[in-house]
Amino acid sequence: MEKKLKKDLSSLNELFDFIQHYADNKQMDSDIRFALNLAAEEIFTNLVKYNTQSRNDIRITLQKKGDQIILALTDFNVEKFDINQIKQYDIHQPLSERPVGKLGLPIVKKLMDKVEYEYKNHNSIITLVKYVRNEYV
Amino acid sequence: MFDIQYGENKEIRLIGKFDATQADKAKNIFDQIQDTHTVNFEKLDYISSMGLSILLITQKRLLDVGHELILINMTRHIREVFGYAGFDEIFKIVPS
Repeated sequence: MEKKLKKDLSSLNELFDFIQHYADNKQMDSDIRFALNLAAEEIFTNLVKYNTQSRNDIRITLQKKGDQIILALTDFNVEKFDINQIKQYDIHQPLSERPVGKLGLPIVKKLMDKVEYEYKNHNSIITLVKYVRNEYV
Repeated sequence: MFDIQYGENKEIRLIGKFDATQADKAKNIFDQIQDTHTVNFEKLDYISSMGLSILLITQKRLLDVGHELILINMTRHIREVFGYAGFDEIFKIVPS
């Protein structure tokens, strides 16, 4: 399943609708729905906020391969920005030293089983994988 | 849908889906708080990092003046997100 979304926060509802439609089809439980929604929002809002060189639509795809749900977001015609190279946020820092923001990625990494980055033909592709039980077809 | 309500006894109720598009609505309320308040999550289904950041900013500001936010009635999903962010070390989270 695939959809293109305007690169703007106002597209978030469409993003959630897309995930809901897929999850309804697959009769997914609330744990997976919650994880997919949150991980997708965090990556999408990061692309909106930080990859501002282009205003092209963002492509989102959702598919199941074996026991994996694969959610991929493609940001077209942008510079390389490898989210796996960002300095890791220390969740044990005392409050006074904590930066405000930058919480999204550590949460995504906890929610999903794999977070992969690929840069190809000036496009950033972020692929998130969640392992699921095989009753979801 | 997201809503934020200022209730009795210095309680703020979060309702629905608190995603990045709701930041301004929430910030308008949290920015007005000057002392210890309870935040009731009972009817909140979802929160993303934007919401967490607003709570973090408020907590920093309140602790500087000897006050804090006390978080109550979280659903399991939201409680887990707070754990992922390390927020259980900086907020008093009262189990439901």
